[in-house]
Amino acid sequence: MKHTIIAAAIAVLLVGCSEEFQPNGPYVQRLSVYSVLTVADSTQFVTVESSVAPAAHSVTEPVLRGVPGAAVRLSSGTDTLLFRDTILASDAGIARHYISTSSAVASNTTYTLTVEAPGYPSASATVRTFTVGSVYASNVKLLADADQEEDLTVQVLPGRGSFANLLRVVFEYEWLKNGVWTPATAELPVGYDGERAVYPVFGFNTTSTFTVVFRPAVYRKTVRDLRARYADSLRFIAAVFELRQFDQHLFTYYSVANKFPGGSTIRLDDPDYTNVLNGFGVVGVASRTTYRTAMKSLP
Amino acid sequence: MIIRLLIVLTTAVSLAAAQRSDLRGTVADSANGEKLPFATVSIAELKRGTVTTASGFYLLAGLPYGTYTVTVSALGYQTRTATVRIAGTEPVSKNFVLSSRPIEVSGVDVVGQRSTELSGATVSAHRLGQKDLMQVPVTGQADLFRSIQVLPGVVAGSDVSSKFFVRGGAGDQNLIIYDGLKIYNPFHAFGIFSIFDPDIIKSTEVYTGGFPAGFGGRLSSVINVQSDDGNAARFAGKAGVNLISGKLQLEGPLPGENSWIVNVRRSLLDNGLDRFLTEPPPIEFHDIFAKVRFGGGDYGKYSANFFTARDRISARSAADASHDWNAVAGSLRISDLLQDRAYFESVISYSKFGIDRTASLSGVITPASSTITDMSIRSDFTIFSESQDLYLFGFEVSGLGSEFSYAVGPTRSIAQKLTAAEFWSWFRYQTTLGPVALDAGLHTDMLGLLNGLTFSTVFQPRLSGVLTLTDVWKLKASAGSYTQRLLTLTNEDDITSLYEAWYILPKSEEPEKAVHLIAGVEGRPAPDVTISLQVYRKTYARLSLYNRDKRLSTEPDFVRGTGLAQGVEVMVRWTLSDLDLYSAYTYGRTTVTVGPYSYPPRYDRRHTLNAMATLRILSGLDLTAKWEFGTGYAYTQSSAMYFRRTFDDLGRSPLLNDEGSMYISLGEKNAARLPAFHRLDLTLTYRYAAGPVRGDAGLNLINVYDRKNILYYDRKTAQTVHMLPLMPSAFITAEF
Repeated sequence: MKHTIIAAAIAVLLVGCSEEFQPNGPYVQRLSVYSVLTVADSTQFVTVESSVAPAAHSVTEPVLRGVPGAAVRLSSGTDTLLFRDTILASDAGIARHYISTSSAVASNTTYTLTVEAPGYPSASATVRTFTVGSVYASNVKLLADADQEEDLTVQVLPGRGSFANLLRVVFEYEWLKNGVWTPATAELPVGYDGERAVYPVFGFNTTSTFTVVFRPAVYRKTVRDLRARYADSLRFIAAVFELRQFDQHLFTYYSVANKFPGGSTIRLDDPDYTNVLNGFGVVGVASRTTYRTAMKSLP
Repeated sequence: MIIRLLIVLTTAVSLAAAQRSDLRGTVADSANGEKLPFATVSIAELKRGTVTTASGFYLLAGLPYGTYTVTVSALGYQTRTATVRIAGTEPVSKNFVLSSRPIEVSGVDVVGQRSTELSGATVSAHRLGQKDLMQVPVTGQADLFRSIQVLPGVVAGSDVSSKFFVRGGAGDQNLIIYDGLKIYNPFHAFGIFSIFDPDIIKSTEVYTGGFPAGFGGRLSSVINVQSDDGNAARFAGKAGVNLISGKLQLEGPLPGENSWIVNVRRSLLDNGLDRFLTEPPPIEFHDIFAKVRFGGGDYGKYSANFFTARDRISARSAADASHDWNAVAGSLRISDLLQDRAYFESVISYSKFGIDRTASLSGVITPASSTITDMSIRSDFTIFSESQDLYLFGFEVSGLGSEFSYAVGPTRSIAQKLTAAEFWSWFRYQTTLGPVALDAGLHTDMLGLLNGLTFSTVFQPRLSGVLTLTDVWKLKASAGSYTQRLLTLTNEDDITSLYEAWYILPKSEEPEKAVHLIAGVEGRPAPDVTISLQVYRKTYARLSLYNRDKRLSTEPDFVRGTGLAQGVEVMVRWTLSDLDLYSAYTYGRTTVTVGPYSYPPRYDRRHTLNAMATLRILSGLDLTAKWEFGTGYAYTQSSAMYFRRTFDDLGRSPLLNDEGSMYISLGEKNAARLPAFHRLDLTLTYRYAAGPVRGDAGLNLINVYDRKNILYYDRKTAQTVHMLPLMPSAFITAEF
């Protein structure tokens, strides 16, 4: 009996000693797919990158490993859009994207994006587009001088089927930079919390018309601040009323990846979200509607 | 009102006491006059006995007139007997002083005291004296929580952390009380040891489950620490130095049999542990303890306590963050005989704990801070009865405040300030029915009652019983319901977390709840052998767990989950003249369930074995060996890494951009296990005396076979940090 116990104890010890620490589980190389389908737009982008093995790279050194030669298709019923492997140059540098310019994405339609590349499991995501909304400012009397005395009231009709919407008013202006009039923008806040500007926030699942009101005091302060900053080297061009809408997948992804902005979370972990089957990233839907009007000075 | 009730009750009992009288008094240390809690006072002729209160007071009510032999014993002290004559209408007063046993090989489990009225029905309870704390080999110096970790059912965090988990409960489910003060983080930085110097600890009660109705607010365990009052007989001092810290303790008498004590401890890590460890960052700490005992009459005690501790971990590199912990606490404690058979104890206390973390230069670690404050008033009343039954009741009112903030990105931070109140009352009744000792009680959440919480949340029944089968064997069982409103926020996906914030569940919300069921057998099959076997089942009816499906900020961070912890514990102790063998084995299995997810928490450990042997080689020379074994903790493996775009400022910035960072995707939650932990430690202790000075000198050999146990793995840097390597250390103390 005693020998049995000793043998069992030694066996337990040996088993314990022979274990190895495996911080990483089995790794399967997957595709990371990002695409935001813009309703009514005929140009669509898809970014396809590869995952890497955990701990193969430091998290402080980003690895944007674009995957060349992938087959990227956007299907709806019998219709299929094919995306071309393209290198795009921008201010941020050179990046690989898959682009389609052949047909506009329709509203209220279900699309499936499929990405296939050698060495990777096929990745796919299904989204449903929504109706593009409308925006209108009924009592527009936008002044480039700080004498606005009426509320600026904006009516918004979100499109059916969208999840989140955001209404903004943006001043387009130019300022004299080294003798050249240079375009710039400034967003009109809805109010101030002390000196901190408070900007419009997202609305959710809204299907009926709603109104956003910008008070004249806020309007005047914004104009005055710009005047104080640029003095005579400033000229207002226009005000743009912009409605942006997003589907649930894109907004959820944004919410999770940014630690739930707009609310008070106390989580200390770092969760993830994807609607890409067998992959990472997100495929979402967005739209942008604008109403633009010129800004005038007092007579 | 309470006082009136007491008087009526005790007077009624007294009237029935014809030809009977009470025996009462105190038990104290002969060397310094210190009152001794938990000393056993018994009268064999009458088969009566009791245990002293925290103030060293005892009372045996309604003894028949006669002459009896009273036996008094306490852990670490020589047993004393005295003849006492009970006669007359006035209670007979008899105080005892006990002499310390100079050399003793003692284990850490002293469950099984017989014929005691105060603790006869407790289950899963352990008492540790100061000498027990000194017995367990540790890194550098003795420590309360290191000693607790050898008890069955207790699982250690790591060997550079004295954090612990009890019977599948999380670390925040342990209630730690120090002289009536609730301590929220009793650990020094990096958890190497606790903030309590063993030299200031008089005794410790540890309940690993089924704790009685007087305790509440935690789901798993209670650690109740009583500190020394100071030497009332003469000025005395103690100094010590070891690899980690140096300390100085001074104590002495005050007029009127009163006393004071001051204990200061400071880290010496720059010249100590850092020589052996390159991985942990530089640590500095100190703690200061001061206490004054004054007044209290023949049977009472008044005392004022002050305590502060501070720790700093400095950043060693751009990837590290600096941490600063600080704790401040103070209390005023009064205990006295209120009426002939009514004893009371009241504590007014203030406790504050805070942590600040700076950002690392690399930006990977973000700044964070957290503070919790607790102001409490607690009163306990004990009524002794002639029938040996005890009635205990009391209340506690606490005001809690919690503030925490931390960054969740380069431009955004979270800050919350929470306040809450707690109001508990309790009633306990202890009786003996033939061979059965029972302890029945009810813990009531009074504010929960006012806030309309459910009946089963407000009223928490507790029941413990011990059936004495023979002189050798006892059966024990316990059941109880427990709730908890405070929990710590931490990143569950970290294998080790230095930052935790205390969060208070809203008062309208049902608190976390657990139900304990415990059964066991305990006995002494041979005079030198003690065996204990217990099975436990802790059902978590409600747990607040991370909402793993949270998608939007409007959705709750926590959702309700459930859990189940169950296990078996075996403890064997064999005491020979020059050899003491102790081993405790625990099999545990814990699962929590939230929504569709079910997984073991990260502190779930299947098998734990602690074996300890102390050999008295020569007079004054002991060799202690301790071997710990534990199967691996649960953790979540990393499964892939990818560049995660974040769509910063959605709606205002272009959708096609490269904002984001590398993200580590995780596999199935806590599906993997760390390698087993095991380690052998040796300690050689020599007790010396040189004129008026005496003390201990010794050598420690930590991790004798240099086992590479894993402390920490940083996913972001793929860095594995191991626990202590093979490490020799030495210590010496001197006292006068």
